[in-house]
Amino acid sequence: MNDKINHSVCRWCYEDIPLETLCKSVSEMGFKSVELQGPEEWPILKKYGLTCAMPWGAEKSLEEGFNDPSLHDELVANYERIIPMVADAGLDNIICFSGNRNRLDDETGLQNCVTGFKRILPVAEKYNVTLCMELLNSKVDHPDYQCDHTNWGVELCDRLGSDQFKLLYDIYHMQIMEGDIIRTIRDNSEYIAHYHTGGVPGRHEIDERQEINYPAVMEAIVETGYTGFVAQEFIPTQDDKLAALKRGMEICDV
Amino acid sequence: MDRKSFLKKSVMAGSAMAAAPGLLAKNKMEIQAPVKGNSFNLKYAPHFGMFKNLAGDDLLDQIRFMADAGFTAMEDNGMMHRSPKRQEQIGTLMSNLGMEMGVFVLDKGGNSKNSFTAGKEEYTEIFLDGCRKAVEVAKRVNATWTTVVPGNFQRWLPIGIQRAHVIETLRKGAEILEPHGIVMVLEALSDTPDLYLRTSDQAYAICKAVDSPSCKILFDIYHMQRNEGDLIKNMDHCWDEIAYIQIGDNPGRNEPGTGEINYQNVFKFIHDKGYNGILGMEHGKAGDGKEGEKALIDAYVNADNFT
Repeated sequence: MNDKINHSVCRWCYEDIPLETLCKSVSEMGFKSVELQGPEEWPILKKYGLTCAMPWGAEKSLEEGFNDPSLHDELVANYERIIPMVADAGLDNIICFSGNRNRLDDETGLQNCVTGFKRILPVAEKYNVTLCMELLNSKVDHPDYQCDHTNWGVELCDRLGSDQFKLLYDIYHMQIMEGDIIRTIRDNSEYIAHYHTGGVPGRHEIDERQEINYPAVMEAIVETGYTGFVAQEFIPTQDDKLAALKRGMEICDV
Repeated sequence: MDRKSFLKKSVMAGSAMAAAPGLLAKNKMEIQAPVKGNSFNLKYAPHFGMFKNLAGDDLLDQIRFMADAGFTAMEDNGMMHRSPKRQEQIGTLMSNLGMEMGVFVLDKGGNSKNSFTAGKEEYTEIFLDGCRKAVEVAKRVNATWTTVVPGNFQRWLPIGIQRAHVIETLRKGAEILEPHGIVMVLEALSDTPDLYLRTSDQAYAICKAVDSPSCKILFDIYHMQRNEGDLIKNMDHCWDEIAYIQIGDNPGRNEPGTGEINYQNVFKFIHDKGYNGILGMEHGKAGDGKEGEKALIDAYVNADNFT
């Protein structure tokens, strides 16, 4: 292990493995985090010396997010409840989503998000928890999702102007939407608080059977001075899923 | 949070992609290629100047070096500006060596000049004149493909009108090229946002509209990684109109393995599709001097090492 990348894994890709079994296995492999987990799971992770680099539990869904003002009251209540719990557990991020467009134009979506996030940023800033909006593809997996281009997410970050609002740059999703990964990461590193992986096309192993040269991308991430986590978020095709996961981590361990 | 339905969808979408065992990450096992006698699965086409330290300044020596190294094709953007005598020397030597000629750029005054989008007769005439000259050059160098860049946007014209102008202009060019079996390949570029042709789907729609065996796509992997990503999917979408491919890693536009593209798998995809055409090495070198040129050959041997 080179210790330049902090390795994390998304729990949902290994749903058929019991959480404690997964925790034990991945901590032995060198992972420091199991993520996309809520308050009930955080203590279990802790038992195995693992953190949760990207917690969840306050959102409604990928499709229903901050671009819809009718959801703001509910979302604000959720995030105000969860953020102190995140901080109490010693964690520092919480995931969030734009929601689907539902015919909203870019500008209205941005304005609605700004209105919603301004209500919870004081709490996030008080507890030093960073809201991370995930960039997702709207071509293959999440049709109509609004935060589907880096520029839109960066614009939202700029309008909010807070260190407690950043982006989750998903390399798989952004290769599908934009390409030009390394330049985008270099130009926007100050806005990115977390990374996800996945092979393109197909969202499977990140090895030689797909089109992204992951070690080169990881080296570029390290060069930006990034000290956060990179989470494996692919669906293994091989029977030994944990072996696939270990290999994914090794590919990213530059 | 419901990633379950999403998970199912993704698994179904990906189930056709069977595991391919036995491949090792190229970064883990670099091959040191010999300078001579490599054998490639695909027809990679170097440019003049790429091996000038190893082969010397003489163009014909450079072609002999390429052939010795195992390259079975060569491309030369500036071929139209060489003397007819030089063109004939190049063409004769390449056919003696069993090498195929790749693209040269069809001269219409520059990538951004005399834009087809404008629908101006004088611009069209410049292009058609270029087509006639390209036929003569192609005959001298045994070329089939010539690169065409439609030019810049004309911001004062509605986009559909610009597109129609491009299609009409290309149809006129195709009429000149078709009897000679010459194919103009349209290249979408990422150099400036002013260039009209930007994406592979746009090139595809235009080729379908021109509807000629002499108007096809040049899919430049470097430019498309910068403009759209999702390389394998997008190539697959456009496959029946792709007649030519060019290479370059991103960022930096150097040889495979110097950037974010896993060329080994991209080449495997192209090979598995049954591609028999040329892949132009339209990029620089990451290293300098003879070492940089050897590293470039190594990079192709490694990227070509797919099963």
